[in-house]
Amino acid sequence: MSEAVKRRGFTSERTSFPWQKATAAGFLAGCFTLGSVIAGAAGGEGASFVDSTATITKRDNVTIGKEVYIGPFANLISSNNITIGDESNAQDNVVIDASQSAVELGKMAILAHGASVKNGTRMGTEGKCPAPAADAHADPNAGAHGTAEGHCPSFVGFNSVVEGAILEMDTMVLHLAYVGPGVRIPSGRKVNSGMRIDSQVEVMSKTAPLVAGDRTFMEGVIEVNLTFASGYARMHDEDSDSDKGVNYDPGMTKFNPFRDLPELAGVHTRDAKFRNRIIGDVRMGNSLAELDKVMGNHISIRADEGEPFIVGAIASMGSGTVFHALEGSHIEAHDGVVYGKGVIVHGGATPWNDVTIIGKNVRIGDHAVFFRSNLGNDSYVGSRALLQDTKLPAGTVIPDNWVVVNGQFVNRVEW
Amino acid sequence: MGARSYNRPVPESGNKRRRQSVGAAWLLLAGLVAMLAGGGATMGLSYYRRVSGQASPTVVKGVIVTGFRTSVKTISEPLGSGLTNWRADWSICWDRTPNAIGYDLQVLTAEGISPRLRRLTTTCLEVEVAAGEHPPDRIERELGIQMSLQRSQLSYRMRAALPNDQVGEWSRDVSAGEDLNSAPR
Repeated sequence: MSEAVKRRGFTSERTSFPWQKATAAGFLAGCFTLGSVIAGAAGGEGASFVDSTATITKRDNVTIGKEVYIGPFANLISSNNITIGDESNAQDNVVIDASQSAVELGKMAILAHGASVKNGTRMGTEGKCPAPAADAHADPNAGAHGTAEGHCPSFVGFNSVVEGAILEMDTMVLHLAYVGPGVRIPSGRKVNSGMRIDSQVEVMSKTAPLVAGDRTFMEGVIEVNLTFASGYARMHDEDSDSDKGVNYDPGMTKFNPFRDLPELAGVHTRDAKFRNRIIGDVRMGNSLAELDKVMGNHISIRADEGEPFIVGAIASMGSGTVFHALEGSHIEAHDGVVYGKGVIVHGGATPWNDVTIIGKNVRIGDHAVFFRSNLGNDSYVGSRALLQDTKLPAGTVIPDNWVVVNGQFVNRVEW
Repeated sequence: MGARSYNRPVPESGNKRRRQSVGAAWLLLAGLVAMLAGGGATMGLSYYRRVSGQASPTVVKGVIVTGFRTSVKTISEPLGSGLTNWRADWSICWDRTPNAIGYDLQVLTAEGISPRLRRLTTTCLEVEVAAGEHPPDRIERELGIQMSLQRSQLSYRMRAALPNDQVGEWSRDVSAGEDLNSAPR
C-alpha cells in the first residue's frame, strides 16, 4: 500500500508498516517542520503519529515503528541514523540527538517531557525482562511485562539527559538525572532523580532496584501514549491543521472524550499558525497577541488528558516549557508567574483535590520540574530543581538543583 | 505485549471524502449541542456518546468497592560489607462486593490513565513498591523516599465486575504505597 500525503507544500510517501521508513524526497537540507506522518490504518488503531511541530534534520535517517507517538516540538537531529521501535514515545520537547553517532530506541522506550538521548545511546535494545510474578495476590500487571518477543519498557524522565550510554530493557532514569558516555544501566535498575553517572563504578551506588510498581507505571505510560498516537492520528486525518498552534485536543479517548478549544482572555481561540502549541481546555489570562509577546518558542501547553488548565496572565514563559496533567487533575497557575526555559509543569492526583497550584508572582528557574505540587505566592523554584508531591507556603525558596519530594529535601541534582 | 487488549477508540469507517463532509455537518451539530449544553467550545454530548458507547458494560449505580485497608511488609537480608538487601511490599485489600465475580483494576500513572483494565478474582493486591541495598540505619529514610516517589507515579482504582456484563462504579483512587489505616476513609 502506498498513498501520497500532502503536508505543508510537499509530498511524501506513506507506506504500510511494519517499520515504516520515512522516505520523503525533495526536502531542503537542514531543519524543517516534518508535518505529521501517519503510519498504518488511516486515522486509527495501529497508527504512529509525529506532531507537526516536531523537527527532523534528515528524514531519510529516521526509522519509526508501529504505534509510536512523537509529541510537540520533539527534535530529532538525524545526521546519523535514529531508530524508534514499536510502541515507543517521545513526548513534548524531547531531543534525540544523533549528530555524531546513531541513536537506537528499541520497543517500548519512553522519553518523558524534556528528556534528551544523545549520540550513541541505545535504549531498550538489549538486556532482559523480569520473570512473571507467581503470587496470585501480586500485581496482575507484573506478569505482563515480558512479551513473547522478550521486550519490556524502559524510561527516561523529565529533563533528564542520556548521552552515549546504554539503557537496557527494564530500566528507568528518573527525573533530572544524567547518564554519561560508556555507562551501561543494567536491566532491573533505576537511576534516582538528580543523579549524575559518569562511570560504571557509580552505577550501583546511584541506582536502586526496579520494583513491580515501577514496571506497572511504565506499562501504563505505554498504554496512554498508544492512545495518543491513535487519537492524534485520527484527528489529523480529519483535519490536517488540527495538530498545529492553538487548537483542539483529540478527545475520543476514554480519559478525555470531549474535544475542547483553548480560551484566551475569555475568547475561545483556534489559530493553527501560532508558533506554540496550546491544546484543549486551557483558559489563559492573556490574549493571543499578549502571548506572542511573553512566550518564547517550542512551548507546549497540552490539556489533552487532565483539564482544565487555568493559567493567569503570564509575566514571561521561556522556550521549551511544557504543561501536562493526568486525567481528573488540573492545573492552576496564577497571575504574574515567570517561567524559565524548559520548565515542566505536570499535574496529577494530589492530596489537595488533585490540583497543582502555582501561586501569584512565583518564579520558576530554567529546566525546573514542578510536579503535582502546590506553592504559595511570591515563591521561587531554582533552576533544575524538582518539586514533587509537595505543598509549601507563600514566600518559599527552593534553591537551584534541589530535589524536594513530599516536602522533604532528598538530594541535590548533581549536574 | 502480544496478549494485551486495549480499549482503543473505534477506527473511523467509510472513505475520507465522505468523512470530511459528514465531519463538517458533525461539527455544526456538535457545536449546537455544545452550546445548548453550556459547553463553550467543547464538541458536545453527541461526541461523548460516540466515544463512551464503545461496548461499555452497564454501570450499576451505588455499587462501589469500599473497605480499603493497606499494609507494608518489609523483608531484609544482610549482605557483606555492612549493607542490607531489603524490599517493601505494599498490599491493599477491600471488602467483598456482593455478587461480584471479580474486580476490574485500572492503573493511573503520572503520565496518564491506562485504558487497559486488569481483572482480579481476589480482594487483595500486593505490589512491590521499594527496594535497595543500604546500611541498616538508612533503610527507613530510603523506604520513605521511594514510597513517596511511588505514590506520585502510580495509583489504582477498582470496580466490581458483576454478572450479565454489568460493573459497579469506580472506587476512589489509591496511590501505591498510600497508608489508609492512619486516616480511614
